[in-house]
Amino acid sequence: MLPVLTLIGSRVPELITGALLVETVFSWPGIAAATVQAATSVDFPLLAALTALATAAVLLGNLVADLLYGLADPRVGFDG
Amino acid sequence: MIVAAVVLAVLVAPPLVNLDEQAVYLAAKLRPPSLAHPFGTDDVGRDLLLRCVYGLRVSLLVGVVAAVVATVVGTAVGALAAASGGWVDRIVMRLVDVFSSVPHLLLGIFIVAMFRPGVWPVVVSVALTHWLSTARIVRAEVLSLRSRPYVDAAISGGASRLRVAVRHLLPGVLPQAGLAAVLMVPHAIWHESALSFLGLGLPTHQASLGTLVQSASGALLAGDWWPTLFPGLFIIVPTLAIAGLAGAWRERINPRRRSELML
Repeated sequence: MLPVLTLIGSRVPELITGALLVETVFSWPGIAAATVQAATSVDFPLLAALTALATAAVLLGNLVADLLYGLADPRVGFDG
Repeated sequence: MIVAAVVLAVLVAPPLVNLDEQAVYLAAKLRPPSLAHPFGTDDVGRDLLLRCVYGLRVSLLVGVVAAVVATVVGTAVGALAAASGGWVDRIVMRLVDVFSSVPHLLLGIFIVAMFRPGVWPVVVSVALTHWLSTARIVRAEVLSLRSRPYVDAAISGGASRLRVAVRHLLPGVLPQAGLAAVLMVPHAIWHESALSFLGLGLPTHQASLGTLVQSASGALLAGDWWPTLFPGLFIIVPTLAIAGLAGAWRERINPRRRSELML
């Protein structure tokens, strides 16, 4: 159970990377396609905001994975 | 074997064949594979075998240079962090954490977008996004080496800091750093392809594995499979071959850990 949680948490960046390619391949008008368009048209404010949001999503994924640890295994404490 | 064949093809073929890979023959556009064109031709009649070899050349160059730069940066940062310890170590490693929380490809896109399209922005972007894991590996290795008895012996024997670092720590770190570099080459090639595929890496007329797949996507929708399949194979086979080679090397220097290919 715990390794699965670790894996899921650490897969969030790959998810975003995958979205970049998949949305381009299938011309899906999502946020990843917007990222690519922002980069090709040198729209730095949008690109910076999207990068910051993606980073926040990654951190959130890691946080959720860490918190789920405590739920899945009561022996895990959060006191450090 | 495959790695040797790939390197040979990439180094020897272009001067030997001496054909223009950019030559356009509109009369022979989108021909399926045949004897004259083993991989077929693309949408403006360029020979795909030739373009694949040239593309592999560009991609390998990008991959190797980026991997070397990333490894040098990573080794320097990791060694600095481990050797100084204390607050330098803490600040540097938090910086590494900050960088690694940004998705690689996204950061790469950001860096590429700051420059004009070309080979070097791609190299810079791939190198700057890939030194993090090497820095971590090297730091851990240096820390474990520093606590070994022979290092203590050297220090109590009066060896200077520099001498300890060069004679006793560096040789222990080099195999790990070299391995990280080789493992990074496929990853870097893959990143170059992804960036070029998104239209952000190399200019489209320059053959690289990513631009080849990208320019083939239109033909693929029309049912012409060969302009996508062969460059795709050119991405997969050499990178898997290099990764396999690196895996075998890892088994030799560290036979205990035998799992997970870092792709």
